[in-house]
Amino acid sequence: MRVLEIARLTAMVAVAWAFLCAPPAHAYLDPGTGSFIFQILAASFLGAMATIKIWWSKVAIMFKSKPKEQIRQQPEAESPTVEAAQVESVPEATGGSVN
Amino acid sequence: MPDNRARASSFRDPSGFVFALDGVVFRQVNESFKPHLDLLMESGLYRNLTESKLLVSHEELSGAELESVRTNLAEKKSAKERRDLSVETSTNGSSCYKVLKPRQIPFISYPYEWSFSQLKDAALLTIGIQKIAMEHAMVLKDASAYNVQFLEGTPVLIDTLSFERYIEGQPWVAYRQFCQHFLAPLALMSVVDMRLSQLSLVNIDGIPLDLAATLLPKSTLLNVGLLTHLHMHSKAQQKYSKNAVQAESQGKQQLSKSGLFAIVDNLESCIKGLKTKEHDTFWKNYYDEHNYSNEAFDNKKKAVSDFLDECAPSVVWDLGANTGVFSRIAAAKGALTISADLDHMAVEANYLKAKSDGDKNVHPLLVNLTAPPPAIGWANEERMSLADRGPADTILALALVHHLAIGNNVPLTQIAEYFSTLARHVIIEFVPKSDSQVRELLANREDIFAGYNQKDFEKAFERFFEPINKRLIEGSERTLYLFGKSISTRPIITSRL
Repeated sequence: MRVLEIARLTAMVAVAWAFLCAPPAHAYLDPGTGSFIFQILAASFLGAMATIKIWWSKVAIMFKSKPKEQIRQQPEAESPTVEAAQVESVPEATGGSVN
Repeated sequence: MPDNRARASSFRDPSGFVFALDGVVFRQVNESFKPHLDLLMESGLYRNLTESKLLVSHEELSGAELESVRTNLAEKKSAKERRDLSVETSTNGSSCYKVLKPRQIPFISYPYEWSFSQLKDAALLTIGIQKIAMEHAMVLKDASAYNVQFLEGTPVLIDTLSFERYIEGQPWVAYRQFCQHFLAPLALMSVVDMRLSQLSLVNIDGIPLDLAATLLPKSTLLNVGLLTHLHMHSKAQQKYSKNAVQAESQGKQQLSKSGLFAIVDNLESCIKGLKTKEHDTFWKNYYDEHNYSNEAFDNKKKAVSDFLDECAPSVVWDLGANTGVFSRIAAAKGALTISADLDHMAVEANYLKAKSDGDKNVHPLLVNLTAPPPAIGWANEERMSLADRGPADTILALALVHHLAIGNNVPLTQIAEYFSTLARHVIIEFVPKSDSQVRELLANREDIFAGYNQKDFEKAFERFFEPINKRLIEGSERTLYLFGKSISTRPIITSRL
């Protein structure tokens, strides 16, 4: 999981940098526009995160050693979480969230 | 409480509005909202949400009932109310599609009066409803914390007009509001200090994200949810509000349904991950660490119970309730009990206990009685003051009077007068100067409270109430009183009620 954590942090820092370095704007302007556009960017970011999460859980299953008996009895026990599965079921979530 | 005209709290939404008639709240739906209301009812979403007790249920007024409401309104409207044309034109004019009678909410409370877990549960309700709505091709167009109320101990969405048809590609119009009303205060309460919930009192549309981002420590940049929905979101607001051209070109891009789901799902995970800091406060441990012997405590409970039986209230406000020990006596007798205290952790502990017990009658509330929640919003009419939400049948004021009179220098007469505006009966405990708690209050200050004695206490309260009963609490030096409203009471200052 350590590799995933490092990759995640790196991605977060890279994407966040552009936003966090934005100069301050005039407070009287409507901030609603920014919220609208930001969702499109955030969806790509969070969709990619979800994809990595799913990918990593699959890799973890491949390399995780388990007693054969347990695997046969509980074939779905190590499948992605419900949360991840929901995202996975929609193909656009994998970085194609901006149409 | 405003009656017979549109509630000031509902003027922002052109889809309809709320009005009250003879104490009963109705919601008018305008023609413009017809397609969305029809979809809500026909898609199965309404049934799904009301059966799960996530959305308040309603009845549609029949033609005859609607006519009766119109006649009643026309008879009752004063000249000033006629100026508030919305009700008149809308209920009589073509813009009225339907009038709904929602299940009534017995006590309205506001986000700045909730503890951390109350606000968190309200946030999870809202985001959960958004997820269910998306399954029915609808979305929440409002994600205001004021649209959530506590009914029988659990949060419920009260705004039936918050839903609209989902259009594929459109961003979530309530995203900013959700972040400002829920995520920002929860993050601040969780990471910085519980008391920052009070920022919502002066920011009626939620805490500005740039303010939240400034107050949060840098360590929150490592939390994906807070980084995204607060820090980066705040910067995006600043960036695009300055560059309208860039905003316009990027605004043409669309947000897929899966993208929207990813945002909503991440918001939910982020909120679930926010916790309170584990720490105790003075008031939360009050009963464990202070004064009462077991015998005196039991005697006090018995006296409170007997006095409650004597005045048989339906609605009790327990002021200075701490974690709600005495509130539960009233609640067990079937009274809706507002269990108010100024300490965040005490209110939090009270709510968590009520939640785990499934107690439907206890409503914990954060109230600083020396500065009670005021009326706020446009023309000070959008959100009611504490007094506007009364009067209660009975006030419980136990181990409170010395904190008000000595701790905060409020004269006994003014305490009695204010209480007389809040309720018809008062069950109040007098704590003499010889009591260890009062001695502690006076330990490091000059005793300037010559008038703080039992005789003057009785005199002050008998100015506004009739004495009904009094009992010395055995095992202590304290006396419990039951006062009832005197018909001939004439307040010194003009009361709002």
